[in-house]
Amino acid sequence: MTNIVRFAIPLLFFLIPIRSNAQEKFEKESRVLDVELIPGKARLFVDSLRQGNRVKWYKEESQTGISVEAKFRLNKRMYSVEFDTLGRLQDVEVVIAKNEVNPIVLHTIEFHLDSLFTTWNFQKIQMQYKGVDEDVLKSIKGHKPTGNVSTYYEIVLKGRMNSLKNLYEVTVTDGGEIIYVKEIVDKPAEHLEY
Amino acid sequence: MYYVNAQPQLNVGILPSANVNLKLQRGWELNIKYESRHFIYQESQNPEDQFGYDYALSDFTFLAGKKVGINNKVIGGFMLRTEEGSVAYRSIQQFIFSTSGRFRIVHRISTDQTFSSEEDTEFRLRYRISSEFPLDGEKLDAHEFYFKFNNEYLNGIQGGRYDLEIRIIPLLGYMINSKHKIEIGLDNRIDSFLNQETQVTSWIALNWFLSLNNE
Repeated sequence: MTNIVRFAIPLLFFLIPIRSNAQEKFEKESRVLDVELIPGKARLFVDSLRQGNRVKWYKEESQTGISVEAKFRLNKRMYSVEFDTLGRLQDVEVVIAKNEVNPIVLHTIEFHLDSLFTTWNFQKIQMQYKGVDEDVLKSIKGHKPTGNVSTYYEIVLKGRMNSLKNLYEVTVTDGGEIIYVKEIVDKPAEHLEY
Repeated sequence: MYYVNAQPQLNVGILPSANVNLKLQRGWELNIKYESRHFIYQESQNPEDQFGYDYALSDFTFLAGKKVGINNKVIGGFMLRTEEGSVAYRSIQQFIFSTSGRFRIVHRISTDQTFSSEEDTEFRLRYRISSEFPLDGEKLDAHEFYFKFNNEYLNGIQGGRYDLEIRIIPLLGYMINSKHKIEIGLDNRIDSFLNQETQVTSWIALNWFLSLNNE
């Protein structure tokens, strides 16, 4: 009898109502393998940049809605292109090196980061283009903002604030002004740690 | 002619566990685990004795962890092992560091000391690598399956004798929501192969993880 109890104790936990917090952020990203499911407009845009099957498509669901994302490598750079469900372009992000940021802008960014964090260092810099398809395409091909596109930098950094070290995502204008700082929260990893 | 050693001895059992993790303020956390061992097959000379249910032991583990860097944690605590008629006590020290990339990988270096009235004190130095592979997309979300792979090397010294144990643990997991995860897999432990009495124990692991946040 006692052995059955010992065996069953962990299973009893399953009787605890399994429900998630109503305020919990809902996010779900999944791979889309059947390209036919991708809106034609989105496929057309990506095809004009990158031919072939080396494009990975994802669907991202959250409270704010559903979006479609293409990830691929082009000229040794990682691109991620986001569309809405109708295939309309939302933005393009490309990973760049620190020395590709305009030195004056970089200086401004560093000046602002110094006042925000006691210590910090860059982990990843992404350039984000937003605008009409044609201008964004030209900007990607020419590696610089062309036409009427708005440009932002999305920076991931290790920063120390109030003696606590964390990962942050910082959004910066093309002039180097910080407009948004978000702490990157680790996903629970107790199943890997304990 | 080479001398061919006898087949390693094989044992099979079920290893259910429940693991509760409580996140506290300023990078602190508590982890409580209950695990018990139930043999269902034990290889022996007498074939009639091989099959049969045999409860082995229960472990209660209490650990406290502190984040000491973005990817590092220091953990310490103790475990109580209750077997029929005896209790063993184990003190545990761990350091973990994780690498972020395409897949989540966690490395764990730990030392432990087991004290009991029946046996000599055992000292162990262990290294474990754990990795998680989401089966849909690049990151693990709720209502998604994942594959987890653990590989651990345990060096132990007890009563002047050294032994090495290797664990190879493939698991299939399911994330119910941000709090609950369940896993099923095979916890394979190979030990005593340095002194030619190799034992292979395959546990059917049933894991349940509860993650609570009180930050």
